[in-house]
Amino acid sequence: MKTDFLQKARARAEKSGLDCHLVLIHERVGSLRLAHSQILQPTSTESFFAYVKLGRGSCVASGQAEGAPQWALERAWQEAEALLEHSSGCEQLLLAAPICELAEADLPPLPSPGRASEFVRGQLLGKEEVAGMLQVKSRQLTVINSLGLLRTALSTQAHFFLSGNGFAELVAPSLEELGEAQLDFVASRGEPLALPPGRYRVLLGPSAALDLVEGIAHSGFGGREYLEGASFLPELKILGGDTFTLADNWQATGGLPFDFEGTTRSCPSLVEGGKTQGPVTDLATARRLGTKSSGHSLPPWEDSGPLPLNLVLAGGRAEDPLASLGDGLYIPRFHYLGLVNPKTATFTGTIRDCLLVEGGRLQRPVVPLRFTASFLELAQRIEERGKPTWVPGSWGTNLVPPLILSCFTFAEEGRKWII
Amino acid sequence: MNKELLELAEFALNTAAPLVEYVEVRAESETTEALVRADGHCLPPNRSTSWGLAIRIWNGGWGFAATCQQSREAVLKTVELARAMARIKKTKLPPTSRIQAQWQSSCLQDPFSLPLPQKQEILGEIEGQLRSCAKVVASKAALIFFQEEQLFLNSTGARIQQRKTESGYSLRVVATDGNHIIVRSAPNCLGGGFAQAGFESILAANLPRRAAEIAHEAGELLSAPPAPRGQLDLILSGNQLALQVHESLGHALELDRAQGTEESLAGGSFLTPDRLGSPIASPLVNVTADATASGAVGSFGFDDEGTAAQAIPLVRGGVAEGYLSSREHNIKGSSGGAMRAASWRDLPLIRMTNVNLEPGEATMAELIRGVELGLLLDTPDSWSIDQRRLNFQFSAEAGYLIQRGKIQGLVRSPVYWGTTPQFWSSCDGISRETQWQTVPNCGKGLPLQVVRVGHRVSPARFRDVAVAFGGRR
Repeated sequence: MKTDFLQKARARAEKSGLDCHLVLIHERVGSLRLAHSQILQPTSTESFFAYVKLGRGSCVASGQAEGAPQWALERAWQEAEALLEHSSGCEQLLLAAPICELAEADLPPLPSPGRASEFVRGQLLGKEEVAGMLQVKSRQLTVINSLGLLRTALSTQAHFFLSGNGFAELVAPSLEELGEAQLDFVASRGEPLALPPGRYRVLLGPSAALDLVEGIAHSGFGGREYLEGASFLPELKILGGDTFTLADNWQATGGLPFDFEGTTRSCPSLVEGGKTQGPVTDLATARRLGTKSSGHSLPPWEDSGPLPLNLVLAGGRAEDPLASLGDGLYIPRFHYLGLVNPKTATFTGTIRDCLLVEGGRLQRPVVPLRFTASFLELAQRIEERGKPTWVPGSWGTNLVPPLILSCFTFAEEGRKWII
Repeated sequence: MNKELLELAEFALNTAAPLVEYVEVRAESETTEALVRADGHCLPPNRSTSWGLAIRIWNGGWGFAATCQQSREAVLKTVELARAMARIKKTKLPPTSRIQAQWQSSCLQDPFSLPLPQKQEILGEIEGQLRSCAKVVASKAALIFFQEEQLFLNSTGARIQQRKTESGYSLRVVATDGNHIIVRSAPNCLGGGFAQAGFESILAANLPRRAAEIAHEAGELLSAPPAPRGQLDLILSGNQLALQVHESLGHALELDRAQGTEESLAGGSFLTPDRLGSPIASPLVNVTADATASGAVGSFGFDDEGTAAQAIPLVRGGVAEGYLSSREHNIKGSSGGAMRAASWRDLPLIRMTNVNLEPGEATMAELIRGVELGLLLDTPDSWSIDQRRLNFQFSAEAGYLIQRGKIQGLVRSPVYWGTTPQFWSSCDGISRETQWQTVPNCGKGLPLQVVRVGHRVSPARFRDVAVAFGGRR
């Protein structure tokens, strides 16, 4: 987005005589999807999105449009303005304090399809029957308000993963940086093993470990869940032992420096040495809690309160997590988690691409097993942590180590279907 | 659809056609309006417009690129991108469409042309009824409308224009007595129920009455006993049954999943093509993917490859008989017409249309009378199924205890689980009464695409299912 376009948008907001909150997103996404060790479904999309929220006292309305930048902004503004005339009884529009950070920034182009496929083919060498994806994204987020706020930031991400009797992924700011890394993908051969129900010692790979801490963070540390009484806070004071330290930290993960309301994002501790801290907030929840926004608002068109966005879980001393596990199960990722009880962060789900580990070595694949477990209790069972790695999550990149859990309970046997 | 978008679509087709073996262009515009009231207050009404062009090229393999830029220069760049990607894989071009047609869904009362105050007044009445129970501490009601216009062109002569209008609603209450918190929603907690219709469908749904019912029920659930544990008989109804059909049968019968090309996200299917013809359910069970049903959200005139809408048998007499399919992925030599893209940004994929459990011969009263000890479940609360669509666990917002053939009262937090073929094989009764339901947030593909799927279901009885108390809240 050109700076003169953004400055004109801010001038319009300031001169409108209305309370205005604008979010503009320019995004490019390129992806190559893989199945049966072949590239399928290459796609490339460029989009521009404008969101305009206008307020006059208790009359508030919003419009959004996707199209060419000038057209989208104009259309979104018109939609909001048309609705504003007939909208009353709303809470007054809250606006973040003005900050102006405007740097000339243009969205970097996506790598050429040839370069992307060359990278993927290089990674596929010698690997049979794997699925996966390479996705490269670049995004410019701009937030403007009628108090004079104008903030814009660029973010880029390249993500590559392979799955199929094993799972591994790489995340970096660009394809070039991704290209320097080696994907540590080890597929296991042999007929999947149907294990009996019971307790197993497990190693959670970084992706599964992120699901664990994200499940905890999103069910307990969101400002809205806290206010609605759906969170395990403030009752739960101790979580995960005295070395369990979980934070939301955009600086350590290359996240955005401000949220969708334009508030500077703080880097709050969620759990510090096993002691739980307070929830994250946006302008509305902060007002209800009598505090300042921590800068964790989500897109205003999402029906969600503020949430931690870039999780960082402190690492540990396990240099070779598989060796530390010895015998047990390696769970690289979970599948289809469903929240059963937010007060205890209890989820049901299955394990995916799981491998049996014996003597610190990966053995046979394991038939998916179902679990229903409190993630708060699982956090208590963390024995050792490895070195943190970048993992893409629901709202950005995270920094999470592999985790060894002393006990993980499966209620049912792995099920094969035989006709 | 505006003239500029139509011209750009023609320009894209004419530019690409001489350069490649095959090209198809989709121009789409979508307008959405969302009106929400929560806790006695209006949330800001929102209207959105999305507009863009998708270009899919075959030149030895598929390439796909999309843009929302409204200029010939941007279209040229997008054609080049799609063309460059289409060199990646070498296979044979599947058959293509040559249809020229127009289609539009039924809409008697255009929801977008109704004055906003009129819609807000109706919404106010509905949301007021959600607060009719003293124990309700949070309430939310929404009315949501979509209108989509699409032009499909391809280099083999197809030209198809379609227009869809959808109207929907969602209701949700939270009730508490200080000890328990109960969430009750209608028609589901997934994001609402929709019909391919105008505002007349909102008026016909009698939402103030439905709002009062769920508020009252939320209050009653606070003092309801926990669901019993054990092997019980279940009757699934409404959205609970729709989600059961959706997750365990609908997804399992998507041919791209069964052939492994969806493996990187959602996974595969227990029902691989070599198992077609196998029994997967009781002989009472018949399932059809019907994209022709008037008024259902998964209906269309033509899919996003230009194939005419069809009704495809998936399960007949309990035996797996067919798949949701496309021109490229099919086992009978022709597409079943199930290729859908969530928007102009997205590549078409095999998606569920309206996947329906066909009615049986029993009445609901007969189903209930045949239960010695069991539960009637409606409205899903949480759900999870493994990547082969085999091992599932679902819970419901409300359960009704059935003893000796009679409904005795509500129970809290029922959870049940099982394995798809065993569960469906235990079905021993299907009602003749039918209900239309929606799964409004069906996710598939990478990048992820979310579409609305329709399900016509008839309450069904399942024997000897594992059930427990989920302990929610």
